[in-house]
Amino acid sequence: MAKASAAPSAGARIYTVSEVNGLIHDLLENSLPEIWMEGEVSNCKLYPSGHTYLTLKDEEAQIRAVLFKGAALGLKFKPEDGLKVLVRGRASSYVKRGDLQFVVSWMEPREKGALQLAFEQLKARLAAEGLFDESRKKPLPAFPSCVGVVTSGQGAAVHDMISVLGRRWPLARVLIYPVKVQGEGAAEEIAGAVRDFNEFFPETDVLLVGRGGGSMEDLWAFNEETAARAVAESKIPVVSCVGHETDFTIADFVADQRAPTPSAAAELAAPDRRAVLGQIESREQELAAALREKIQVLSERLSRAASHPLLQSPERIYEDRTRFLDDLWMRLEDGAAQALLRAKQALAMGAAKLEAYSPLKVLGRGYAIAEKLPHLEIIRSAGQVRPGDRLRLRLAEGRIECEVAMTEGNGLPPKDIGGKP
Amino acid sequence: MKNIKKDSFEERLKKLEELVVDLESGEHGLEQSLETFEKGVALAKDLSRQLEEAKAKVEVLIKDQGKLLKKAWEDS
Repeated sequence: MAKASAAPSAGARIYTVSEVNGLIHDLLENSLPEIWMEGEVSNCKLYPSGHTYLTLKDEEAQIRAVLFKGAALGLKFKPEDGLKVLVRGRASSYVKRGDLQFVVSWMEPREKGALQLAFEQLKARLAAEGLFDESRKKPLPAFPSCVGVVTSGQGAAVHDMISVLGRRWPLARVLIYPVKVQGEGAAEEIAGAVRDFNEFFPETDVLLVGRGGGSMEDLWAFNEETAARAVAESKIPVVSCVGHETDFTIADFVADQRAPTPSAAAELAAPDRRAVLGQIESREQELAAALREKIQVLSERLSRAASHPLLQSPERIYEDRTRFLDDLWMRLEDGAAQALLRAKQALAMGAAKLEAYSPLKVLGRGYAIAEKLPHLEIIRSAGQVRPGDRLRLRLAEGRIECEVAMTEGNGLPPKDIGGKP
Repeated sequence: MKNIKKDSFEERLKKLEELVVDLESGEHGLEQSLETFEKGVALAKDLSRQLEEAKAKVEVLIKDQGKLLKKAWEDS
């Protein structure tokens, strides 16, 4: 038995570390070209370089693995810890460190479809950002004057939407923005159209974004982050309509409203002309009813006024008035009586004083007072009488009746001398 | 939310509703009530006519070298 020697035997080749690592690298790469392997992801980490480093393991063993940026871009979903996956790749090593490394060129989830997983992952991520929150949802306009449509220029969807919009709400201008709705670049076109509407046609009242039915792969563009983000960021309210009733896409979750089909989206976005016409007619009837009511109220007031006692027998107005006047009269009479009494007293006092100047005393000195009959006007001027008038003369003692023979002197008409003596 | 544009269909429909409320309040005299009524009926007729006579206008947007061109939509 050869004794283990501490020294290399003569002629033995001495390798460098680099050589050994290179040999191992080549050996691995050559003996295990591309194989399929299944395992569970752990210690998964995405680096700024775009490469993802992870460990793949089963119950008993594990191996370090790398998913280079180029390969990662081909995957819809993102690898995450705990995920059971099937990978294709090759065993290799990192020459500088001698580490064994499995280089993954393709990966797919083991328990569900890759698209389903990608959908769930993006949904969870956007939900965590709050993009599905009800508070973000914008209300749709009641009466749009401009409706934008982002969908394929061909196919039933665009025709359905145009015909529904035209039938229900022809007041709205319809702007069609044809885009690719499936395949490479579709999500980018959809996102671009939504952004263009916001930038160039901000007066658009509502956007309809969608397409007709198809497989999950066909609808995939509406599940991509770029399309979803454009819809979420749109200032114009978006109604999504992708596929049939049961198809939900990420675009549906971020849209302000989701419609099950393109036709349904058009119905949501536009009011029904006939219903609005009915509404206007109701307003007209309400106007007529309100006016009738007004006239009714006024005529009731009029007939109430007409049946008022005053208008029924207008003389009552005078009853009131005459009562008032009577009252006034009585007060006046009272006042007058008082005044009369005071006047009488004053007169009595005055009479005593006047006694001294009594005209009778003047008569006593030989003057007479001439009065014309029959009314006994006092005569002060010859003009007051004509020949033939009868006069009565008052003397200091007794009277004489006589007749005018002639007049002479003042021919002017007599001055008014006031009332009867 | 965008402001409602002046003289838009929505704005005028709102005006009609206001006229109805105003007339229903019964606060005004006969003359003003008649005026409100006539204004409302004229507005209602106008709105109805607009709805009945409207014809949908469909245009298509085509992106050409970064510019958006508007063309009439031709139903294929």
